[in-house]
Amino acid sequence: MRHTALSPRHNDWYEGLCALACIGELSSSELEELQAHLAECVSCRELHADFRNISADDLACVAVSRDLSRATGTESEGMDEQLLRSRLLDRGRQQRSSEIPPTEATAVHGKPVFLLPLLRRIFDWLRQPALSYGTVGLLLCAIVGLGAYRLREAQLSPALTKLCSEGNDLKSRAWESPAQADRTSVSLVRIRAERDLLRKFLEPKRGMRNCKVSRNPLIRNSPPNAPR
Amino acid sequence: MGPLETGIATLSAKQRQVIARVHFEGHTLQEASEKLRETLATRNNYYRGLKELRTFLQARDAVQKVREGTALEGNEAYSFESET
Repeated sequence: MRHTALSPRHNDWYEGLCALACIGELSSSELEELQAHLAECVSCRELHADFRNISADDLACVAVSRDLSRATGTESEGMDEQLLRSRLLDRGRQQRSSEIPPTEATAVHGKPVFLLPLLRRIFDWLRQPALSYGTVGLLLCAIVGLGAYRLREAQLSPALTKLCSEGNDLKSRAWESPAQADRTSVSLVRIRAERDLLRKFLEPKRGMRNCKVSRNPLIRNSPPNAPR
Repeated sequence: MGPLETGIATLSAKQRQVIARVHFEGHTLQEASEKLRETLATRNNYYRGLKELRTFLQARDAVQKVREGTALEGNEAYSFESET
């Protein structure tokens, strides 16, 4: 391995890209940017080569020697092949799903399916630790709030029903009162007419009585309600 | 313990953990960041660790060259004395 010193004008950005490129952790835009920079920068090319040698050769040798030392040790400390296989398959599935462009995300019967990638994206987003805790907290808050709302609604619903029935009763009474007033006025008019008739009927009787009283002094002195 | 393992032992704990997760356990950087519960600093820790390993190896190479040079000078001096 040939080690070279970097010139100070190179910033950490390209050095970081060189390191990450060795383990395939760059996005396509970052890779293009790094390749364009490596085409014109010798020291970064050497740095990239050194990083590649360290990660591909030196660290790989250390990993193999560690595996060998584990394999010679107890069986339980060795690498779980099932775990490794499942992790490899998961990663392959994730890469395949991320490589499918949205236009090709068609499903059965030729209908476009946008729900599945969306759900997968939401699930991936929820897998981030800080976000998932926040989301779980928000969900719990929403559930508690909904429960409190339902409980309060259940507590208030009998009183609300009673108030509604009272309101309906008052409304019906309000509708009935004008009709009752009409009936009362009609009966009042009828009673007045009867009173007038009775007055007309009593008028001659009263005149006759006054004449009798004026002729007979005995009747004049007696009280008007005395028995005859 | 090999020279690179010595270099790994000189790294900070975060850098050593990231490099071990990626190179010895086969995780991606994202998986390593999830395991280590660090979403932002994992890339930086990996890059810094690799850079320090490179510096360590450079220093070791320089020391070896100096040792080889002194050994060569000693051999030359011995042959000169034997010739005389």
